[in-house]
Amino acid sequence: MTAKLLKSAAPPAEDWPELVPLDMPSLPRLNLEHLPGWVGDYAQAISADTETPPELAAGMVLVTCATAAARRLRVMVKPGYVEPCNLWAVVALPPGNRKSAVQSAATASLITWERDQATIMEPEIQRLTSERKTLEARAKEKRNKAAKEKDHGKAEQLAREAADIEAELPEIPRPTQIWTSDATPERLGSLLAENNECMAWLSSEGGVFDLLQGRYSNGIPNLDLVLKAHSGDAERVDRGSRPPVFLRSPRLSIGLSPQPDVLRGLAAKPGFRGRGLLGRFLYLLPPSPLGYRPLGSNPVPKDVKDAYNAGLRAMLDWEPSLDEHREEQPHVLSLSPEAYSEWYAFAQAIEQQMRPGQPLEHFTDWAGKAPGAAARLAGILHGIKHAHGKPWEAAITADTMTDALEIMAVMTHHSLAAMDMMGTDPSIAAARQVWDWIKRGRRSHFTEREAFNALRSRFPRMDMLRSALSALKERGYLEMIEPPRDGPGRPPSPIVRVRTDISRDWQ
Amino acid sequence: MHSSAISFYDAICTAGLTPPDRIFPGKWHRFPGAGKGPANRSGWCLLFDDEQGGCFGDWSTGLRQDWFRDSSCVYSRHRQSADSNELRAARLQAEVSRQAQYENAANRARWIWDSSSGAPAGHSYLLLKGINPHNARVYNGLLVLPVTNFHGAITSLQFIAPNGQKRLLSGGRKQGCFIAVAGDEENVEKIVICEGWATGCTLAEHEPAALVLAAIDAGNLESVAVSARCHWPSAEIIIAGDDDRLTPGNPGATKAKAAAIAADALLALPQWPENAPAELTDFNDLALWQTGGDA
Repeated sequence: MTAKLLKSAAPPAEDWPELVPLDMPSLPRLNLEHLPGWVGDYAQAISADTETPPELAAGMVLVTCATAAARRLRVMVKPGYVEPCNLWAVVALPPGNRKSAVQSAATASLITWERDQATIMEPEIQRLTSERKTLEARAKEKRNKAAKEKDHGKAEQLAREAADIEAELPEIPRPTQIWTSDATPERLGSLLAENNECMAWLSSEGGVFDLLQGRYSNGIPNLDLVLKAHSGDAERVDRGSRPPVFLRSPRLSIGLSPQPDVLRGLAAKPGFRGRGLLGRFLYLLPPSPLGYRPLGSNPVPKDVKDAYNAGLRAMLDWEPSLDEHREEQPHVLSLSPEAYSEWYAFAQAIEQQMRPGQPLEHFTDWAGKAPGAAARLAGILHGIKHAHGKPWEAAITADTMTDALEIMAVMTHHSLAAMDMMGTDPSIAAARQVWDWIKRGRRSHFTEREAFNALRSRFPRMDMLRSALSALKERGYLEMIEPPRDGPGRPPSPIVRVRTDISRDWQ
Repeated sequence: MHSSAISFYDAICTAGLTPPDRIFPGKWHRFPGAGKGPANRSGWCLLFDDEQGGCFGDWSTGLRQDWFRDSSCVYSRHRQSADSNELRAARLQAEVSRQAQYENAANRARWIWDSSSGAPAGHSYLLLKGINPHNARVYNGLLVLPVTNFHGAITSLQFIAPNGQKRLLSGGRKQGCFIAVAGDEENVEKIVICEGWATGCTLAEHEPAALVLAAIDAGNLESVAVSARCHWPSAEIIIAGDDDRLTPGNPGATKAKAAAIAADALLALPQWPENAPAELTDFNDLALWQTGGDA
């Protein structure tokens, strides 16, 4: 009879809290078909050659093209609203993913172009250097004579002549530099000033964030110039012993491919989130192919490489527009009415998603800049399409805008995941490692001490492991059970019990 | 009492305990635990000599709390260290005192157990519940049941009067301990854990292959179940809970479910036939009622 009674025995229904996933959500992949011909082909070829995700090559190639486009183009979305064409992009991948190789392949043309510019300018630099030295010697001679002259009138005349000569000393041009990989924010200001207010900061590491955090300025973040150089706002740059310069419209492109760990916790850095630094980047978080690569790379075809080099060089060689004072300024690209309609629909959709309860509610810093980023992207794609011509003579078409918006749609998903990741504390990364260990062993129960013994190389102290377990508990992955003490002495190790709907699937 | 002693007294009262009317600094006080009778000594407190801090607790509920006269005051490192040492010493003293009390109770329990004789099948309570004596003994007309820990040592005793009134040996350890009703503790494949001994007897008589443990009350189910899981990791454990349908919150079913979850066990509650009276709560009630019904 009792056996009948106990036959109702069953696992109790459990009220686990809603699971807050540790894993990155499944993110959409970037389709390289949205990149115009020679750029899309090259990104695809680099990706195949280095066996890296196409997102890495796409991100780096896009920022390289933005470096060229920002020098000569800006996009007028509508009267009174103009966006520069510089771009900030981050493609995060774990170490060992050949990020440096991809970055080198994408930026090699910039180096070649810089070198060629230096060669072209060298005779002029030599001539002007010689002329300057001669004039300096003449000024010096005049000054010496003035010093020795006893006739006051003549001495004054000689001093004036020396001053006139010095006023006419020719500026020796510096070889053009369009990118750097390691510069403090202060040095960046000088570089922008010396290079027509355009510069790119390209690195396969995340050291840029350390520099911005004030690695060389006693930990005081120096973000003003960098923030303004995203939007092209005027800024004064102090240059140490040299006179300060005013940048009318600095344009800085940034292309980084750091490790995901670099991103974690960035939101907690003073000012990074609050002042909008992190919201200015477009992020891509492709899955790491390590462990799944066929290890049979295909070298980049020569014609594809040549087309990329020629296209990028053509963009870099675009003639500047001159204002009424004969000063260089970027050409203005306009949108076709259809392109504007596309852009406007995107901007409206983003706007609505920033409402409370909508997906972008907590990412308004990023979302607020997304329509502007889409316009910039459209300008860059338009420039790529018209690299060998004069892009400013044609309006941005609806097709180009659609491509830009398709790319932005993917980047929106990736960027939200990245912003989420940056807001998390390092214990989440630790929690992920503990969870990997649990998952590998399909453990439904284990003691804290068993985990400590197994993971001691990663968590040398129990406190560190407890912090990771606590993060897993908060997210509903497991619960901790304190076994009752059975007499004096050391208390028994707490038991970790894995969420049953997960552990049952492992059985 | 000084104002600090009064504040300390109030803090203890706020935690649901009733300390002695006078609390002397530096003196170890014992008093009844929460909801316990006047003879109980589960509650304890110590006010430090300087009256700036103290600690108190209740062994029956596991409560342990530190108290400071001015919790907002930022003390010097030296002072913090002194307080910390004093607290540590007080906790140690509480632990030592508790262990001594447990030891003393265990000694008394062993003596009584050894002095007891096997329970007759005709004992009123056994007849009332329709069960066999199993391991029960009799002492002064009361059924005596051994409360043991997972090392097999007797920690306390449960006495059951012929009318069903139950009492535990004062000062004995109950938490995490149980009454082994029936079954082999060496080769364990199936464990049934219930609240009361009588329920355990009913289950044991119909499930002879199982190790049946009675956790004494619902509040002790989880401790026993978790310890059993640690002790026999691969055994199938069934928590046979009471169904206190008429009690708000149904503590029997609630705590049985919590125990089953904590110990990764199965949960079984009595499945009441439609005409079963609502007063019935456990498997023994159900078995008795069905037997009566059959008769």
